Amino acid sequence: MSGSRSFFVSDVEVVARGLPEAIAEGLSACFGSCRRAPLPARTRVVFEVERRGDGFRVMRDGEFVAGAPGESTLLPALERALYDAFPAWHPPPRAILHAAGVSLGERVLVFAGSSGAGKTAFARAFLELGAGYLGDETIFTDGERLWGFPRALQFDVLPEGAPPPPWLGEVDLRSYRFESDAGISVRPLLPPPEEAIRPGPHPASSARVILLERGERDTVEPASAIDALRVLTTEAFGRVETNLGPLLRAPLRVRWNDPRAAAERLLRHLP
Amino acid sequence: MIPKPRPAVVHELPETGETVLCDLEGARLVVLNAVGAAVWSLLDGTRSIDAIVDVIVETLGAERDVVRRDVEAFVASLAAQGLVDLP
Repeated sequence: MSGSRSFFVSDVEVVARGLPEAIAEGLSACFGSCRRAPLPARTRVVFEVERRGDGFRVMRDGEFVAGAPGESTLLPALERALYDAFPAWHPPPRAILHAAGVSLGERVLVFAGSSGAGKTAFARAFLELGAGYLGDETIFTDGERLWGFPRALQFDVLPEGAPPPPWLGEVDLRSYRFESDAGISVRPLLPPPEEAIRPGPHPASSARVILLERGERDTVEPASAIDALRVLTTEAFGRVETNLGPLLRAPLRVRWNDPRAAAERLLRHLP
Repeated sequence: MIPKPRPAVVHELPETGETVLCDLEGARLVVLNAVGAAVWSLLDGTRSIDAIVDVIVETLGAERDVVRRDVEAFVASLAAQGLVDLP
């Protein structure tokens, strides 16, 4: 018996077939919140998983794209094959920003920064404050609109059996268990609340870029548009061949120690 | 001399109206003033520096020698930053 799952990335319907049951459940846990296409669906791409002895081959529209030596490594391999396809699905003038996004009324906050800068932590803090959710990792834009990929929030990987850090709180630790060179690991996931899922599209001019950095204290200050442009272009997935000017109105820099407290401080800085 | 622009994206900053050139690796950002933005838009790989100077002199009514010196310096600075190839 094998399962299949489907979800949307922008205007691409992704169908995954031939999945062992645990992998199908893992995919649902990761991408079950991406059931609605933010843009009118344009095409469908099929990932087919084929069993080969103990291992698996992942085919995308009939072409080999990834292999996994066993079931415990299949979900990360599938995810990687999926994300690897994003740039081809988003040719210019689309760009893929490495950023989280939340909506507050008509406004969209785009949290940008390197890995570990707090994108997921801030997305979660704003979800708790009642914001809408675009995504915690990728924001798409064509310079006029921006939209998200509202997958389950993904937190830093933990070794299996390690006690979860207290700040994780109510996160589903069972959904995504996998094996890597570091041994058996667990990827904590937090599905966004159904009513908060708002991938867009939103007008690009509604965006406010927030540059995130870890710090000793929680501070909020204006950032230059050039700094925001630098972070957005260097942290993007692939080339940015898009005028990001509309996103660059009044960016802010947030240094944070406690994401929830910093999120509340940031809220007070917004008009 | 015909300068060849490298592929770059132009971003217009909403608050200052400045134009920022960004190469496609995203590694270099160059802020242009209004004249710089005009020169960049005229760099199409077929116009010579002389032809660009002609257009600017005609548009702005500025003194030719001054415009030429500014355009040459600007193009040289773009070349130094890898945004323009000079033959």
